[in-house]
Amino acid sequence: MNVRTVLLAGAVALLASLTIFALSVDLKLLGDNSGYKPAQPIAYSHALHAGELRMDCLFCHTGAEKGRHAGIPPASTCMKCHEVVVNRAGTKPGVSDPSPEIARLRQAVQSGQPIAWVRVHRLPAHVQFPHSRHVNAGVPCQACHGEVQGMERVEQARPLNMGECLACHRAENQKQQQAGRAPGAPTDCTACHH
Amino acid sequence: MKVWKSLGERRGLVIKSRAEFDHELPVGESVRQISRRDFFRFSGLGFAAGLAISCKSRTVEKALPYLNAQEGVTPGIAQWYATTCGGCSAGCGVLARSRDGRPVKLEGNPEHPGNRGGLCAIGQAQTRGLYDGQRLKGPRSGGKACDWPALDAELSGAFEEARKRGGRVRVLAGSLAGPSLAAAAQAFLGTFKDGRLLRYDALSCAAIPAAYQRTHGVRLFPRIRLEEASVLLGVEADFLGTWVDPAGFTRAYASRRGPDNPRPMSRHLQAESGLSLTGSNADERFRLAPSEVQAFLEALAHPLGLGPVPQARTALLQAAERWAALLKEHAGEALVLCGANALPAQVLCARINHALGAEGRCLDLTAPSRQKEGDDEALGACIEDMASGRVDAVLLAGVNPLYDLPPAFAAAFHKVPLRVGMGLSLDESALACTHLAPDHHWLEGWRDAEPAAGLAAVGQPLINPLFQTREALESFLAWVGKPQQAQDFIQARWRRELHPKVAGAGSFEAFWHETLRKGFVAFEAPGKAPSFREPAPLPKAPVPAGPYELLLQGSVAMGDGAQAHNPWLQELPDPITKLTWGNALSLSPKTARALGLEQGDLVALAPEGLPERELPVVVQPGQDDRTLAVALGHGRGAGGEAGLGAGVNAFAWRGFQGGFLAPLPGAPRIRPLGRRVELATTQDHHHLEGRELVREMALAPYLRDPASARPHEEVGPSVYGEHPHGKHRWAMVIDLSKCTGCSGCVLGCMAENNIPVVGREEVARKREMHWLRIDRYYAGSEEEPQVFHQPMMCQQCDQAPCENVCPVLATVHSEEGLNQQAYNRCVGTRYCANNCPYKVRRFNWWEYPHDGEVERLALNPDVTVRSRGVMEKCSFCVQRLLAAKFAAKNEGRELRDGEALPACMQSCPAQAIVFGDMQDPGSRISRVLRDPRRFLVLGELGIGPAVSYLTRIRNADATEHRGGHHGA
Repeated sequence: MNVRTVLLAGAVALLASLTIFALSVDLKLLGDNSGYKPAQPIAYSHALHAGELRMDCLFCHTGAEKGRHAGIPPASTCMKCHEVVVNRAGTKPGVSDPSPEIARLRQAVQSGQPIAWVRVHRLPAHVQFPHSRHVNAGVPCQACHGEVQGMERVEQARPLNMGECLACHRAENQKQQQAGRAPGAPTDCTACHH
Repeated sequence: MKVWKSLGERRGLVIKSRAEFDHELPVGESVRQISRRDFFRFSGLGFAAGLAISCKSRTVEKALPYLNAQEGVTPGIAQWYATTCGGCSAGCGVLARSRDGRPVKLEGNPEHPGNRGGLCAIGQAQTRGLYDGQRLKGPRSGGKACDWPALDAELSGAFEEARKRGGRVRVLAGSLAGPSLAAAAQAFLGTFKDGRLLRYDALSCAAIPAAYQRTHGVRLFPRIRLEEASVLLGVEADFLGTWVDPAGFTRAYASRRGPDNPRPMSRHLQAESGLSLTGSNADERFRLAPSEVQAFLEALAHPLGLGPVPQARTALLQAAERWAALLKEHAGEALVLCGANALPAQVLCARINHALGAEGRCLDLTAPSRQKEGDDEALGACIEDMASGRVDAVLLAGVNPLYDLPPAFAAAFHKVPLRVGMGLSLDESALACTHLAPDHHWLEGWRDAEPAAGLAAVGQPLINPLFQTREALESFLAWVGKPQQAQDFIQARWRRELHPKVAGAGSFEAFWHETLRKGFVAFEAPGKAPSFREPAPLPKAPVPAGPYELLLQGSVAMGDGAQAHNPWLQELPDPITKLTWGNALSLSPKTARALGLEQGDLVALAPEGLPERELPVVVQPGQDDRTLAVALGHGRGAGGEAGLGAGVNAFAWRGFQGGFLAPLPGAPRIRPLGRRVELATTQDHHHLEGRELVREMALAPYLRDPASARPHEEVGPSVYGEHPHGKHRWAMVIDLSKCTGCSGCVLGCMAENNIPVVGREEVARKREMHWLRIDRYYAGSEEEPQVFHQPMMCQQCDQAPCENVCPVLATVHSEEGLNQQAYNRCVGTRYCANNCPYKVRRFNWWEYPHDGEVERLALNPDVTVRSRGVMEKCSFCVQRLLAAKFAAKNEGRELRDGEALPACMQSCPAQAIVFGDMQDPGSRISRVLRDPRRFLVLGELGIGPAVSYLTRIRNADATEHRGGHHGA
């Protein structure tokens, strides 16, 4: 064995032990991102907006009933309320909210730089998930996203893996069949993978 | 009927063009250089590293919403805009699908009176042409990048100098340049003492307007209405493939093909030297040499009382006489189209059409076509002026004359002191220019077009310009000191010139909005048909000596060569030769034998007096024996990596013959080189042994008894039970009577489904990735073959052989009858492809390039990009089916018939494809499935394909005229 082979074998052994160590710390399956709770550029609170103020999810995530993406609202949507209608600090409409988080929002609008939110829920690239079909079929947002209205900082509540999708689709189809209706939740591969 | 696919097969030997199986794994050289041990070392390390990283890494992905909501824009929802295709000068209407601010797919506009929903291959490939990182990224002066103010300042000084020298300025443009661009150019030229706008077409038809000048006293190109022709004779005119308006002509032509149209089937006759796409669809075909076109037309004219019988061989005279009788019999609905760019032939053709009463019905002279406005005679004069130093400045508006004009142009061009290029890329002409003012791609800017009198179309931008380019129109306006936005200029011109002509248009704002919505406006063009007068006789062209004659054919994929930088088009197999990535010298089988040449042999070819160029030989059944045919549009020397080195530029072999661009008349020399090259063809594989894959029947017996078209063979039994089907069950039927083989569907599929380009070498290894290919079969003799085009894609078998053998259940059946392929589950055993009887599965041998910073923008976000090691195939455009179903469900209604349609069907200019839900008894597909002409390919296997075909109907008696055909 030459030196190169020894080095290569050593590197492989090192990486393998690192892998085993990593797996021993967290036993979640590959690709399971549940519990992911990144810090966001603006400490936006869903607990306040969706929970305390009882704003509807679709008020901001307007794409959810129309198309594939639910969408993150443009800064102009935030500003509609914060600059014009009302704010928490009790200042009059049109007068700036003194909160530093709102200041960041305002700064983004003034500078023309979009806010780079950190994406929390992310399906693999080979999955096509249409929000509109689910929202229009009456699936509550919480079914996949968890109790977002209670989250100060958004966290991925569930693994969002294929098993979860299929379990829900099959249960739904069973329910439909028991009610004497045609099953409407597809379980074909190409329903999501195309 | 014995059907054969290549000459090797006909002679009983399938030549393995390459030692493909010398190695157990036919992998590339670079891979073979790695030793087995090293391979395991690296892969082991890679695996471990991958495992360690993938376990715990979390890609932090940023999501950037709009700052301000855009009206009508919802991320993820496609928007459609009507615009006008700028791929060629035909001016087809397109609907562009825009996803998140970028156009990703073009489809024919069904409302447009020209193409009526179809779009050709070149049109479909335009998005890839837009997202081309090799385009010019900004203005240049003296070869160095500069900015627009600097260029404008420098040019205004240079134009001032040109004014002082004499103000002889020429703008060269193609027919693609619309009326508004022409108006801006004229405004610019008006500031010079002698400023002229010259138009030329690389694939020139300039002899036609010149002929009408002589026969009708007006320079016009008649609008051709193929749907009116009951008997149609094409003489060297490839109107379905490359001539004037292929998509529009195909639509009109196909509306009279097959027995199931409201109007009776037309009869298509074709006399030609090479086998063109059009000739391959003809009911009857006659082979002649290019120099015999004139004699053939004279022989045709004689029975119509238009002159004496010419000197010609008997077979030609007989064929012409027989066809003349047929045309006469259908006078009033008979039409002759001639594609030769020679004045005597076109004058004669115009006289014949006049005698046949084609004017008014088949040929519209009151609202003529504006698709070919080139004037070769003026161009020739301009080149002479340039050569003698009598021109002070030349501006090239979207043309590449150093590539597509005779070599004399280049020499003359360099004598002009100021040369300004306004093209898209650093092409042959741009390299010779002193200044470059690059134009927008047509999808980035405003433009307009006037495909015919009484039909005006507008092109609107789909995306912000990708690079620092400027609309040519705006450049002209800037140089006359009246800078204006192109949109404003076009709008003002339309307000001034078009709005008053359109009756009942309402206010201009309403008219303009409606035009933008539809993409075009049709109006009554007041015009009087010019009257015919017998022209003065013309001197006859000399008949070439020597055994061979040169034929320069248009190419379906390359067009005039302007698109050669587009790899999608480079990889599109020619519909006849099935050759990709370059051109070849086509020889008839007899000529090839006489010269001792076989497919793939290299020869040196040169017209008299020109340097030799190396070309591989393609042995082409159905070609005339004296003809040496070479496709135009290849052999680009600059302007984009994809076009470099692919073939030979045959435009260099043209000259001005009697004032018109035509092949050089001297006898071409041909010299075998004794070497061979492997052709990147898609022929001779996908080999299906001796089965009746295509069916044909003559019209008369079919009309007598349609039921007789029903195939005799039994559909085989299946050992498996029926699949349960859900709400829908998709099926497709392709009418072989209508399909012309134009290959628009191949490119439509490519754009829709993110199909990679694999390159010349991989195509030669038979690893092309097209989900939809067109199989081309020959039947009959080598000299007079009948040609079949059969689109072939995944047949979505009900009992699919691929499904049974997949070890990981990556390919399974859906409840809608689709044979699904789950890429993320596939482990790449390729067992399925092995078991597929249609050979339509494609394997990703490599990670194909999809990640160019600009090029990736052409990807359709609704379709997964496949990675190395997985199998893929036609999905019936399942993403489009889902989109249609979602739309219906979201609106709370049932899916309507015709709403869900795959990309191939949408783009088919011939409307040969019917698709739909066969469980809906009222659907169009359910009706077509009951057609007696319907047959399955390999139906005897009992695998229940969901794709079926309709027997081709040929409007010719199978036995009647065979004898007269063997000419030459």
